[in-house]
Amino acid sequence: MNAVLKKALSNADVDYAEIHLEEREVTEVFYRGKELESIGTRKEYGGNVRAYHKGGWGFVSFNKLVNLDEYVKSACNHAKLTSSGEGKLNFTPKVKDDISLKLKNDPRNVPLEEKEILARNYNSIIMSSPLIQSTSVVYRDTYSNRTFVNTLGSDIKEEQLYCGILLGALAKDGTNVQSASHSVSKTIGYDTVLGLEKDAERITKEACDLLKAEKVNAGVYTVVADPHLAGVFCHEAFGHLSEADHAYGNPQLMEVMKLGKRFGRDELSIIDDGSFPGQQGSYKYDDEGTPSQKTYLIKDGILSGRLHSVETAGKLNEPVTGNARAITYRFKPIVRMSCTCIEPRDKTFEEMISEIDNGIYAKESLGGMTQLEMFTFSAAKAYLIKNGKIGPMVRDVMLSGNIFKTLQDIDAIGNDMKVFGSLGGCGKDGQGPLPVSMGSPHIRIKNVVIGGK
Amino acid sequence: MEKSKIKNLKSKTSVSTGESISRGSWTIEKLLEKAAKVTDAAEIFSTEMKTEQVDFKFDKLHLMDEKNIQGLGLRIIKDGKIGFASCTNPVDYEKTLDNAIASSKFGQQAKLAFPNKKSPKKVKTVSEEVIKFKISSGVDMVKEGIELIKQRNSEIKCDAGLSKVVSTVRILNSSGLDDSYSQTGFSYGISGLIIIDNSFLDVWETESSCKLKASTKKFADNIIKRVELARKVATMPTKKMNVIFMPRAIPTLISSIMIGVNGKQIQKKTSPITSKLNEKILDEKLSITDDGTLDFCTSSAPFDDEGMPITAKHIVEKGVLKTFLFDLQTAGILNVAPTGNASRGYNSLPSPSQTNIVIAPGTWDLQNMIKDMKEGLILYDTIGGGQSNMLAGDFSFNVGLGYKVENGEIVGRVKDTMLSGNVYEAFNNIIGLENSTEEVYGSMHIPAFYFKEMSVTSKN
Repeated sequence: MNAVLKKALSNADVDYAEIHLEEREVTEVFYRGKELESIGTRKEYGGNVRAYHKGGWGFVSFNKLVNLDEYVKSACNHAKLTSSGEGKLNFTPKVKDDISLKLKNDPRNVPLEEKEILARNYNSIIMSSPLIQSTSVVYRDTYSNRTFVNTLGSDIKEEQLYCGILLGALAKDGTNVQSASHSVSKTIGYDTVLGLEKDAERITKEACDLLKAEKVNAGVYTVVADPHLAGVFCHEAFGHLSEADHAYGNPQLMEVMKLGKRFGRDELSIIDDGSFPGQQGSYKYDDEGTPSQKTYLIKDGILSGRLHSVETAGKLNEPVTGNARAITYRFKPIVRMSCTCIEPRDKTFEEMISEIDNGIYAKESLGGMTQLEMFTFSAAKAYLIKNGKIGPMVRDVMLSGNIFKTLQDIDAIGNDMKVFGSLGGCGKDGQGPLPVSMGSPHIRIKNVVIGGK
Repeated sequence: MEKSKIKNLKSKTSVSTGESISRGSWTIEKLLEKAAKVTDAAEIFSTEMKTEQVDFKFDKLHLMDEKNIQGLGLRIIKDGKIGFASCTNPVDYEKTLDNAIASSKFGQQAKLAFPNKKSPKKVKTVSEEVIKFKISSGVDMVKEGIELIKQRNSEIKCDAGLSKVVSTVRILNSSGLDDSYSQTGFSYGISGLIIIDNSFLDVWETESSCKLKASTKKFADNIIKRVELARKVATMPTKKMNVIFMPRAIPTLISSIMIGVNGKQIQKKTSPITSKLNEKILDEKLSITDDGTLDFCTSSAPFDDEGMPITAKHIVEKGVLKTFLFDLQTAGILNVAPTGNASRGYNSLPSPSQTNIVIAPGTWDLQNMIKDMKEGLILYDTIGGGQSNMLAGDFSFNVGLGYKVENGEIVGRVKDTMLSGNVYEAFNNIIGLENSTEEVYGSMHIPAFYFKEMSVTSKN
C-alpha cells in the first residue's frame, strides 16, 4: 500500500509533500427520550495530499480513491501558485512507525446489541424521574486508522479508538426547562463507558434541582472553579492564545505573547501534553508526523512556550511541538491543543472555600468560547458561597473576562488534579469537534464578571 | 442477515487505491433495487461536492484548498422499523445494506411514506458564472479587498478567504422517486485584527450566495469604519438599558426560536411553545418566514432532503405562532402534514431544520434608533452565544464588538460586558425594527432590532 503512496509522491515537484489516508468507522447509539433516535455504523475512507512550495500550501482532499497521481499534481500546482518565494519548515527527523491498538476491552469486539442495552439502561435511569421530559444518551466509538507518508521518508501508521458516552437529562416544569449532563470519552477502550449508573442518577437529580434554582444575580464575584470548569477555562481562555498560527504573522500579538513575560503568580503552570496516555487528546504522532510531547505554556507564572506546526515553528524559529492536527482527512492540519492542564499545587478545596465571604462555586461547563483576550464560558451548575460555606444552587452562571487579567487573578490552586475528555471536543477554523482533554485541580479566581438577572 | 457484519469489526480493511475498487461494486440504482427487494421500503440520499478555496493569512496568500467529497446514506424500513447506514465508497454499498438492516432491528417505528412526485424546479440555485469561475482569479479579488484596508490602516492584519462550491443532491426511493438538483455556492470573508491600547480587536465581514458575489469595497469600508469607532473605550455601567442588535447579531437569539419550533422538540414536547400554535408568543411587530424558495439564497432548493417540495411559510405572523417545522417522521408521529423541512448530510438520518429565514422589516431608521438612546448599546458580535439554556430561550453572552451610545451618539467601544435575558421575553420587549433588512450568512434577511431594557453587566 505505502509503495503506491510513495510512488505517487515521487512525482511531487515541490519543496515538500505528504499524503494522508484515513479509514474511519463510527458506531453510535443515540437515545432521545424513550426513543432510540439512531443506531448504526458510518464508514468512511478518504485521504488528502498536502504540498508546500516556498511559503505556499496546496491541499486536496478526496474520498474517491482513484487518480491519486492527479491529486498529487493538483496539490503541487496549488502550492506553486500560492508560493511567495520564501519560507522554511521545522521538521523533526523522519519516522517509520506502526502503532497498532492493544486495548484490554476493545469496543469493536462488543456486539451492537450490547451497546444498545448499555445506552438503554442509562437512559432508563434518567427517564425514571417524573420531572424528566427528555434525555440525550449517546454512545459512540470511533475507530481511526491513519496512514502518513511524506517526501522526507516518514512512513507512519497509527490506529486510534475513541470510546465514550454522553448522558443528558432534560427536566421541565411548565415553561422552565433545565438540563444537566455528564460526558466521558477516552482512548483506553470500552471500560470507559461501564459503571456510570451513579453519574446517570446524579445528573437526573441535578436537572431537577436546577428547576428550583434561582437565576444568579449579575455581578463581580470570587469564583472557585471545579477541575472540569478550570480545565475548560485553561483550554478556552488561554490555550487558544498559545497556538502559534494565530500569532506568528502579527508583530503586535507576538509582543503580547512574548516568551518570558509574567502571566500569573509563581504557582501557575500550564502544560499541553499529547503524550499523556489513554486520554481523549492523546496521540503518538500528529498529522505532520511529529511525535507528541509535553510543552510548558506557562511555567511558574512565566510564559514559556507555545504550540507549533512545522510551519509556525519554522516561522518563529522555535522547536516544533507536535500539535498539528486535522479532525479528518478532509481538512488540513492546523495548530491544536491535545491535553491541556493546570498543574496542581497544595491548597485544599476546603481551605479555598472557607476563605470566601461572598462568592460562587462553579462546576463543569456547558461550553466556552474565546475571541482573543476575551472569553466567555458557562458553568453547568453553580452554588453560592456565603461566609466560607457552600450555599444554595443557582443557575445561568456565565463567566466572562479578559484572560490576561484573569490569569493574574488566580489566587489559589488546589491539590486535586483531574483530567477530562468528552464526546464533544474543540472547534477551530471550521474544524470540530477535535478530541482533546483538559485538566486542572480546583482553582480560585478573583473579580470574575458573571452575567445574570 | 444473521451474518450482520457489524459484529465482525475485527476484520481490518485496508485503504486501497486504483481501479480495483470500482470492479465488482454496485451502482446506486442497483443498491436501491437490492434494498427494495429485502425491505418494506428504501431510500437513498446521495451527495457529491467539490469545494475550492483560497486562504489569506496575515495579509498574504497562504493556501489553496480543494475538497472532492461524495457520500451516500441508505434508509430502509423493515418490519415497520427504520434502519440506516452510510458510506463514501461504492465498494461498501453491499455492506451498507447489511448495516442498515442490522440497525433496523433497534430502529424507530416508521411513521412515514417516501414521496413519489418530482418537485418543480422553479427556484434558482445554480449560477453559470460560479461554475466557470477559476479559483485562481479569486486570489486577485481577495488581494484587492485586503489592499483596500491596508491602504487606509497598515496596522490592521487581515485574514481572508474566498470559496466556490458546486454540489449535487440526488434522492431515489422505492416509491419510484429519482430526483436531483445542483447548487453552486460562493463565499467571501475578511477579518481585520488590530491591537489598540494592549487590547485585541477583531472586526470581520462575510457573505455567501449561490451567485458570484464579493463585496470587497463595502467590507473594507465597514471594517475601517468599525475600527475607527473602536479607538476609544467607553465605560459601561451595570444596569438595564436599551440595546440595538445589528442584523448579524440576531441569529444568536433567533436560534432559540428555531429550536423551539423544530418538529423534533415538538414531538418530544420539550419545546416551551409546544402547545402555543396560533397563540401570540412574540411582539406583534415580529413576522418570521421560513422561505426556501428565494433565488440564489444558500438554503434554497426545489425539494428538501427527503424529496418533499420546499415552500415559503410564516413561522410567526405578527407575533402569532403559525407553524412548526417537520420532516416526514416527526410529522408522521404527530399525525400532521410534513412541511418540507427535512435536512441531513449523507451520513445521518434527516431531522427538521429551517431553510432561509426572513424577518419582516419595521418602521425605524437605524440612525433614529441611535438618536433615540440616552444611554445604550449597539451590538455587532457576540462571544459565547449558544452556551446557555437555549431551549428555554435563556441567553447570556459577552459583547464581542459593541459600542456605547450616549445621548444619541456613539462614544466608544464596549469591553468586558455581558448581555443576558430570555429570547421569548426580549422578543416581547421590542421598541422597533429597522425599516430595511440585511442579508446575513446568505440564508437570512434580518433588520436591526431595537430592544427595550436589556440586562447589561459590566466589570466597571
